[in-house]
Amino acid sequence: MKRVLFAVYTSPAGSIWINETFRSIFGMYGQDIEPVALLLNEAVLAVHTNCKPEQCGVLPLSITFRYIEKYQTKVYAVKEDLERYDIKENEIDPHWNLQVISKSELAKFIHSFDNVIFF
Amino acid sequence: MALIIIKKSPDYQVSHLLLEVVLPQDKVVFIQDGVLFAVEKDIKELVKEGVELYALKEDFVARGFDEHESLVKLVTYDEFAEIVEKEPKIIS
Repeated sequence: MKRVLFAVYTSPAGSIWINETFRSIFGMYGQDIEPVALLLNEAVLAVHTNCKPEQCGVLPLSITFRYIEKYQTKVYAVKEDLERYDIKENEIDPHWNLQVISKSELAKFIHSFDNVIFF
Repeated sequence: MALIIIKKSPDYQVSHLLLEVVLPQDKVVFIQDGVLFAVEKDIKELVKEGVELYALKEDFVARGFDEHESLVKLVTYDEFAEIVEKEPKIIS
């Protein structure tokens, strides 16, 4: 089974890319592909319990939670980016089932996938 | 070994992140606004030794540059397609 990393770096507020990334990920389950999500740069803001993009008129992030749970999608976020925005462990919404990865591990992590798509 | 395709300009942090995760023996192809890296004076210092750098000729000249201004090897669409075909792993 091919492993594909979907990396998203844009802010969850004012852009659709995080939800679009997960929409693409969930579509992969119909193929012979194991998708994994990586949140980096401003995209890590999405994991904060108080992050509500619907206040800017875009779709809520919570629409992804049901499928993350259903498919047990692996979601990673970059540690240094979480620290940059002062997002503490107890502020991360547990629905993301988030795993944290440090920047120093990124090169090896990214190269471990068959394909990597940046949104 | 992997092929890394960079399409955003050097003004984007994600472009630099992609260059940071490049490993020796990887190939990098700059396309779209990513070709602006081809005129960055320190482009070869931004990547590890052994990394092959290319920029898409059509995108480079379309932005007003002469071919001789590129600090990396320019490739045509056909050559780019050949590189893509040869690399099983693509990061883009």
